[in-house]
Amino acid sequence: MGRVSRFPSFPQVVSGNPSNKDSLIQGSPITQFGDDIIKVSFLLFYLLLFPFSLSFASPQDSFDQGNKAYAEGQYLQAAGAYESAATGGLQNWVVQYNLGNACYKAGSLGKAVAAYDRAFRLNPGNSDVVFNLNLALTKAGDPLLPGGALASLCWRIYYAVPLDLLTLLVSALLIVLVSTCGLFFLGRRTIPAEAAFALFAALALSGTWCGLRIEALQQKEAVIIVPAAEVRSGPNLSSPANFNIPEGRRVLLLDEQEPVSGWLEIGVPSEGLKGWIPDSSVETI
Amino acid sequence: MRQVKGQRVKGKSLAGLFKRLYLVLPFSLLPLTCCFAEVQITASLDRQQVALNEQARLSVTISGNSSNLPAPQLPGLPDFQIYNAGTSQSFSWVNGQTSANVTYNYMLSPKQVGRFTIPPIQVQAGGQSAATQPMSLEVVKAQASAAPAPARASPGGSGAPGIFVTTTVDKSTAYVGEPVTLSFRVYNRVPLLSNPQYQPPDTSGFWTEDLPPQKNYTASARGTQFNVTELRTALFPTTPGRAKIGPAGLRVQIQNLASDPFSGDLFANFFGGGQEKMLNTNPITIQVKPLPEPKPAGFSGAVGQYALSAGLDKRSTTVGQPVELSVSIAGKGNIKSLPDVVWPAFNNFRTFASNAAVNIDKKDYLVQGSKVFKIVLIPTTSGDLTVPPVSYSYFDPEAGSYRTLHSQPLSVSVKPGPAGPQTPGPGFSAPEAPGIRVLGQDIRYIKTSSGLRPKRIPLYRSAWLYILNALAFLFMLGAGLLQLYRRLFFSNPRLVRFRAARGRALKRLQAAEAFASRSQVKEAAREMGDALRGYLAAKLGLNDTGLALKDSVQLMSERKLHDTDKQKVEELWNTLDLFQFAPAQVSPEDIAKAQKDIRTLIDTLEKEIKWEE
Repeated sequence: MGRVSRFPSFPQVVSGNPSNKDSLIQGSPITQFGDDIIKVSFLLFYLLLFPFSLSFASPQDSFDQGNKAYAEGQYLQAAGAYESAATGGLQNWVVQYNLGNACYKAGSLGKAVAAYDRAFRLNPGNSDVVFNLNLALTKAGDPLLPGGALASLCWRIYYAVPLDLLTLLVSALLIVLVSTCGLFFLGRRTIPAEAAFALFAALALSGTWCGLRIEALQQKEAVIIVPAAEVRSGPNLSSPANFNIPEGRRVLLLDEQEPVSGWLEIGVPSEGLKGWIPDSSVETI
Repeated sequence: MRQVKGQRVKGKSLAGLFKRLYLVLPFSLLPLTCCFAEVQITASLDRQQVALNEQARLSVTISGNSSNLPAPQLPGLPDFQIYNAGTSQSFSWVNGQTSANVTYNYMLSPKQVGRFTIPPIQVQAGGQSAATQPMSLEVVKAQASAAPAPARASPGGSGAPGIFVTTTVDKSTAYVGEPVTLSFRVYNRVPLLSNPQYQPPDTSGFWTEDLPPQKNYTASARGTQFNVTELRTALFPTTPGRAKIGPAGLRVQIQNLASDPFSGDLFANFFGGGQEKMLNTNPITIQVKPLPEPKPAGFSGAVGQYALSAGLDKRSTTVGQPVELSVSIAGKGNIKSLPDVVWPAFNNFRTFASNAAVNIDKKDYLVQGSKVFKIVLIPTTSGDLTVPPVSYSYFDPEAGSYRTLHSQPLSVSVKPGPAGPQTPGPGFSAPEAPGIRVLGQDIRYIKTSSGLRPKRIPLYRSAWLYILNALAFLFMLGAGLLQLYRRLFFSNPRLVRFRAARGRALKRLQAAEAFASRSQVKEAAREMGDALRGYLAAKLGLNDTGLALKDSVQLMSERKLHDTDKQKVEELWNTLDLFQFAPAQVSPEDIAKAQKDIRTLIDTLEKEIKWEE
């Protein structure tokens, strides 16, 4: 397992540094880690057990086994098989989408959101991925689609164009514009000024669009996988809890400070909140 | 059970008024719920008094007219250990209005005796908050048998170690899904310098549930009294075969064994320092038996001892108006992983299922509770309709056999609906018939495509794309630099002439050579003369028409060129004049020599004459 948590306090014999009393008063860390243990065991169930048992199966076989288990209502087994397919090298949006479905049906909203989000990053134009991610995030209180028909339409258009196609478009526009400039320098005026300006405007628009899409992909995000996770002001259990955050909410991973073993600094930009959380309470995307 | 509830109020000022009203009443006996807008929060304790070794259940219920209710924010309770005991939720639709209830259960395990106040529990809704009123809970002394007494013993004083750990299981053979209780005990009789760090065992192959609270007691082991701290975990094997529970670890920091903590020597105790030790238990192997064959039809993996109950939220309705069928599976076993109920065919109803609610209780260190499955039934015809019985099969590991539970058939009286379009609930805005009606929302089904391929590297990370773009930029840069060079160079005709002087002179020398090869000495001499004069004029910034030898030499002097160069210029100048005016006396060798001298001179001057503005 490798996870280390603080053992419950010993009320009978504790001596030494008086500061230890503070940690005793704060209570048993099991209070905070009780849910984590359950979740970690859930993780182990299909991250360790099933990948091990399926270690001799090819990723495609694991995927097929996951589909079979899902169809039979064995959602935990399905999740393990999909996870095995993914760790076996089958990094495909379909695998993550199915993994999200299995986790959702197994009652693990946080892990479902994480898997759907990975599927969304790989294929944001798929309507089923968007639907399921939006449904799961809505349950977590953080809907994916903006409210209002126009905003929702704009959002869909924004993600409708595949990133590869957008990159190709930007690159083609850039090459045409740069080549036109080069020819202009050489004294050959190939296109009128209005067309050149339109080309530049198209490049600026598509370049910004593409850049924002890539930046969103580069963002380090995580999903809360335990119910009502407590976010503390510092990376230790003695720091007071600033706020709690429901399972399934997506948070930003901050790297403003030196990493602390077992803890992650997270931010919730929409609420303007940030704090520290045990790394067992989140799953990074 | 003491339940505290509040009144529905709008806005903070009214909430404050009611809070003041409640102040005149006993906290513990009156409803203490506040709400804001459409969200209401209720908190209750199952007892007013709890012993130190017991637990009190705190239930926080949030209700509102939205299916997406926020979670409560528990205040800090330093005098209690808090364990999550599951949530349960319910939704209902009445006259097209949604109402939802989510109950969060917590177990409070007190740490010390006294009377404690549980501060208001808050819930955030739409940027504003609602809270319950404070509640009080009295903690009394525990039973004498459970009260631990600190042992004063010296590490290693009686030959036994001062601290050690063990893990035990209550059974070494179990069926798949049958609970096995793992107990991790710490036997201790030495002072600890800091809180120990517990490393749980590797329980791959098990679904695990912790069983709070920890137990503290004294026990005799190896002939010595120890303070024992015990943690229990329920393990549910998931696959048949030999399942291994790895070693559990405990990292402790104890006083240095070299010093006697009870010697009374403060300096020795203080400067003796701590010693960090890692205590490990032995691994345990469990023989996991497969569930016996044949399995009954409808069995999908439930193991334990369960009871089934079913009920409708109402017994009469109208066509198009939903009724909710709830099926509760309650008992001992792995409640969380209970498979879904297989619903029978509901004739005369349209259906859609909602998520199951889980309520777990770990009383007496047993995983028990209930899982409630709900399905909304929308009658499509009027009359006395019957909801068919629901069956649920499970394996009872104690009896070693399968059992199938059946609910009783339920009847519901359905009246004819109004003539107009029906609105059976939120999201059901479509007309009753014959159009499409949305019955509910569930995730979309998995993809079963074959021949999946791993995602290739995205185009924006492709090196080829960067190379292609870089080439375009290089082209533009080159063109720009070329244009710049041209502009700078051609804007100064004197400089152009200066730079092109040698090339032009060499061309004329070639022409002279051609004349010479045809024995046209005069023409060859003229070309050579033009080459020399043209070169000197271009390099010295003079006009080459009518250039005089004197002017050239004077300028060369001003430029401080070598005297030998000047002499050479004079010699060649005169020689070429001679060739031009007395061609008959000139041999081809003389012309060749003159050409060679001119080339040598030009090469020399090319290095010596620098550009000057």
